[in-house]
Amino acid sequence: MPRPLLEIDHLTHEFTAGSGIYDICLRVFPGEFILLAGPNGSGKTTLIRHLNALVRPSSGEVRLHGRPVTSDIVFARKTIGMVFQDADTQIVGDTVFDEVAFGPENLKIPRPLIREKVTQTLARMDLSHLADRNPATLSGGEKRRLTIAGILVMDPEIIVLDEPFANLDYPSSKALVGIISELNQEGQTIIMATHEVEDVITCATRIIIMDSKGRLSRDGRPEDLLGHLAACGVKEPCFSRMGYKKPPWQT
Amino acid sequence: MANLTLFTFCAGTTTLHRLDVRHKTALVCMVSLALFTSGFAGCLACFLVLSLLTRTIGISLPQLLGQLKWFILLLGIMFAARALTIPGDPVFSFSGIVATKEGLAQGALVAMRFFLVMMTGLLFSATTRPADLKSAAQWFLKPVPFVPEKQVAIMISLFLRFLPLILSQAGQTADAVNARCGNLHKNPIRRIRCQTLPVLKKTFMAADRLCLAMDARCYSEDRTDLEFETGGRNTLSMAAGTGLCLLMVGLSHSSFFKMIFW
Amino acid sequence: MISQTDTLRPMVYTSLFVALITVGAFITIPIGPVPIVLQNMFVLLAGLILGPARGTACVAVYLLVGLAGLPVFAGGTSGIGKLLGPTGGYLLGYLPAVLVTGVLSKTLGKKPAGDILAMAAGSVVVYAAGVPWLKIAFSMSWGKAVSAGMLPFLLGDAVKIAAAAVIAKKIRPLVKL
Repeated sequence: MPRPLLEIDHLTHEFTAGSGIYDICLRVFPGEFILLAGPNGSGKTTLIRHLNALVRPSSGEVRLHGRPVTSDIVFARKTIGMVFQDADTQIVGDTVFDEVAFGPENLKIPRPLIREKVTQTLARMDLSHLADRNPATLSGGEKRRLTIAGILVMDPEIIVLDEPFANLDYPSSKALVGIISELNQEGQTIIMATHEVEDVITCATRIIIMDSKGRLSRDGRPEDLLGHLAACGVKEPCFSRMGYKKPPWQT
Repeated sequence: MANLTLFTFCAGTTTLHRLDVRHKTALVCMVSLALFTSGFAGCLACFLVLSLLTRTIGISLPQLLGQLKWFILLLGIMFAARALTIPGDPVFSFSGIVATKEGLAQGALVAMRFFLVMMTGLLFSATTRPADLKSAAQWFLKPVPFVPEKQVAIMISLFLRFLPLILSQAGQTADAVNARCGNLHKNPIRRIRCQTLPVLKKTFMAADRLCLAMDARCYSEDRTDLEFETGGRNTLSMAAGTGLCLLMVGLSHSSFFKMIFW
Repeated sequence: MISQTDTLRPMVYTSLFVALITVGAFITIPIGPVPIVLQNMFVLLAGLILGPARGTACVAVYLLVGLAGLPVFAGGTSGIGKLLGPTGGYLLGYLPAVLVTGVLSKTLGKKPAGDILAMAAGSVVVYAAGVPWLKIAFSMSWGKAVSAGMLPFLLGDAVKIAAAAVIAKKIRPLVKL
């Protein structure tokens, strides 16, 4: 078995009001595509924010390459790229190019190298033609690709996405699934929090389900969990409800 | 409101567009200062040069005047105020109001100077990307003590990000309030509160999320230095600009022109 | 919360207020015959909520942005021409006004009554800078300058100050500075 990239060890985060997360134990291996599913308020976002030490746990710890994430926060944040739910409030730059350059600038990478990497990343995310635009004028799908470009440019080992399909129309969602699964096939480790698994379940290698009390309730391969999702508060994909094991178009 | 988010920047590849923004800022300051010391002849020379530049970047004079229409109205009032109040030889009088020669001359000069300064500014913002402005601000603030120039640059950047966010939020709030007939409230304090409080709450929450996102991307004040555009024949343009300023000042301070116009 | 967030947050809030002051010039609320503009209300609010130091920084950045050529001043104008123009005194007056408002509000304990007093003092500072400037620019008499550049706005200012006191009370708990 390969060494785990990320280990979450008895992680608990209690809030004074409302639910937190309790006693989460989890190991993430390189190349995995993990769906983190569960109803609203089950603590998916809270769990994710612990991965790169944006918040401190009440007890337990998260280790990256065997070292606690809190021991080298910059390393943790560079290694674990995070795409937040609301695209509008995570875009910092006033042009598309500057937005992607923000991360590398923080790491004090020399300017010529930044220019090269940003140009490359924009091309990869199909945003080159928008380089001089104000991000506020982009479409929902373009904004989402921009936020992914903004972390991809820092060469993360793990990409974490929080509800990436929120407020996206069908074509943009489909395109996004394509981009993410392509990244995964290139070896990128992906963790995606979502309450809608239908679109991505066939690309994922593993599903983790949290219950409404903030605990892990299921952890397994997508094909094994099909048919049990509704019981955990996650909408069953259409093909599974119709009795198929795999979407008909893939059999 | 729409042109506030787009600003007045027009993309292009003219020399003016590709000029190093620091040189451009220096030129604007020089021309503005020269204008405030020059008389009619200097203003005329400046006007000719500026009109020519406006043409090369593809803005017509009517368009320019349209942009400045409220400002021109203000200038008109300024002109009238001076023409009618400064004592001197009366040129014409109308039911007790007397316009003097000195007043007309001085009013016209002051109005013209302000108009040209505005025109210079407009030309500047039409050819400069907001991002370059931010870089220029950071560069110019560097030698100023007690001013954290990198923070200022980030703040300008964030300001540009917040602007469209607040505008759309304010629009949504206004619609939501009006949809429930909130505009019928008689109490003005209540109306201001209904219009602004939801916007403020939402934008402050957005600001919190933005902090988190910046943190997640390793935000640090110790960051890569700026770069500047270098394709715009900087030295030549600076020389030309300095020449123009000298000409303007020279023209106005030769005693000949002073005798006629001042 | 750890690392940079604590130094980051005040900066983000300050930029937010720069944007609010800018937008304030464009939000008009029709009350009576003269529609009122919310710009100076946001300047005073910046003093109340950000405090004197950050409030002053906020107005300074606003003026800098306008000076640098972004059309953030009323009517979508900008530049040194506007700042030195006939109404430039009001703009420059925002700088001491926000400081006065911030300091007074802080010393008076951030309560609504104290806030109102602080904002009234701030408004006086704005007019103390704006009206003489206007008088010189138009070379008009004191009486005319006051009746053109101050009296028409006093009622609106009173309304805005009252509203700002309510808003400050509601917003302060949300702002973790």
